[in-house]
Amino acid sequence: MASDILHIKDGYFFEIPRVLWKSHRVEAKGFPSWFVRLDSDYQSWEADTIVAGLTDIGVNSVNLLGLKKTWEDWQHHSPKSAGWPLDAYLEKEAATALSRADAWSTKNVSKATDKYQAYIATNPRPEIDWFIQLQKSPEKLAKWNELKAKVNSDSFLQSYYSEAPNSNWAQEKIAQYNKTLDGKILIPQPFGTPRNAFEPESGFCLSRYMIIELVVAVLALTLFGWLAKRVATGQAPTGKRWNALESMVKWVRSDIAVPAMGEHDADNFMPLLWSFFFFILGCNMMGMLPWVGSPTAAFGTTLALAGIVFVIGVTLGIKTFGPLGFLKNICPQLGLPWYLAFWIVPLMWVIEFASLLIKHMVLAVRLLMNMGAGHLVLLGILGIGISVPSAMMSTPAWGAVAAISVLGTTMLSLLELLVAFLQAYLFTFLAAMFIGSSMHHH
Amino acid sequence: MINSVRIGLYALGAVALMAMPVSAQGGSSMPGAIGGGLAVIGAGIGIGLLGKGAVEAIARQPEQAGTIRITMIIAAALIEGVAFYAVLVGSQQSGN
Repeated sequence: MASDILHIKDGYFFEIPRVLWKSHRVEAKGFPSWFVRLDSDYQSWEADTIVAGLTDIGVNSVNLLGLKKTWEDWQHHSPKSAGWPLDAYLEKEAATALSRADAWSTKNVSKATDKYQAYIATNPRPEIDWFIQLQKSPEKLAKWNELKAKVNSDSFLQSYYSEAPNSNWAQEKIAQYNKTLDGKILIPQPFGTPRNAFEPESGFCLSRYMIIELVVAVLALTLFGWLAKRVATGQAPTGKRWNALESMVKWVRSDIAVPAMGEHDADNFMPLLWSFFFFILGCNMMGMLPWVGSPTAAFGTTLALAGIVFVIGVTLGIKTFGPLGFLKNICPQLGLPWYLAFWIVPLMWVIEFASLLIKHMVLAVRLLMNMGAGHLVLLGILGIGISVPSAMMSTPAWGAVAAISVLGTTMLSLLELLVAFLQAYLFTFLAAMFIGSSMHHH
Repeated sequence: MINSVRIGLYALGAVALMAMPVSAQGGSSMPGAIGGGLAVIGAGIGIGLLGKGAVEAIARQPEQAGTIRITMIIAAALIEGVAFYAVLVGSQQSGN
């Protein structure tokens, strides 16, 4: 699903064309620390420090001989391990070896012997065994933790700026860093530190989608706050804006809420349903703007929205029928004779209970996949025009293909516009239906 | 037309059934994408039938077009949800 070509993948930066946002940082301190920590030159320097520190702790130098090489191979082995520093590599490998030993010993060792020793005796892993032995000795482990804290501290990073062995850190490297960061508007992270541009290291990191969601929420608040003030005057609507907004608000009530949950309930839940509809619509529409992206194409957003529906449904069900009554109400009343009800009702109850959870899960997945898949299709169609190199075809043929793919993308964008409305409508409709059905006897 | 689709589906199902034990024995199992694709075929047929039914119903009673359209969209969304679920689960399975 996630690809950094698309705007589907969430991250800690906004990406816009390079010419619009040049990175003009002049000194090393201007770059975020997580960015410098991902530099392979820095990591190599850090690894040298760690190896030196391990020698001081008293690790046999035979074990440290090929360590840096093994770690670099591991980094390039898969995208999952790319960019992890040497200390993280050692701890991850040790954890993997220990968990393998656990899994192995449940199959092969019956007596309560040392699981790891038994495992390592038959599957020797000298490249990580010394580190596990180090972790077992408390004083060495304390020293290791000290070393780890040292290389992860800010002052260590500062010392890299001054002590780095390669003196070309000054201009050439800064230009290279600036080139990488061109067109990327990094989001300030006051509450946490990212590990890279997509994953958090610690704390709470603000991502692009969170900011877009906030913008949508503020936009909806101002627009509808304005509308509410106008409506409160009690006059007939005048003007384009007022009429447009009021007809949409009216439509959500008469075409979504009332058919789904009935006149009486609908009026109680209108604030919630209006919020759902306009928030989701706003998020979907953000995907139609260039360089922005729709937050509803991220699982976190849709799962949270579906979670709200689930919690409200269950809470109101319990409030109406009581905890036991709610559980009983999950299974519809079948009116069976007792000798059939005896075994059919429990069976039905299990199915209906699972369906209660699946219904809400699908609510999230539907919105996510509709928004995500639309962007994937757009990429596919546009990719035909872009990825076919003009050398493979004559220029007129390539021009024709490119023109068709751009036209196709335009047409599919219009379809996306329809999907944006349709999915906001569907989510609100189904949410209203689920909430309504949890409060009534089946 | 319907018959040829049906025969094709039977053939696909048979291939999938026969491939399963073989692929389970050799270290690599059947890619989940095939499962997702099979589910999408089912959903496609379902939504197609739904659209056919809706168009016929609207042609018969044009004054009920609004109600029929809403019912159709909801049913289509429910079918689509299952298909998306299968695609999501399937795309997570592929690989080893």
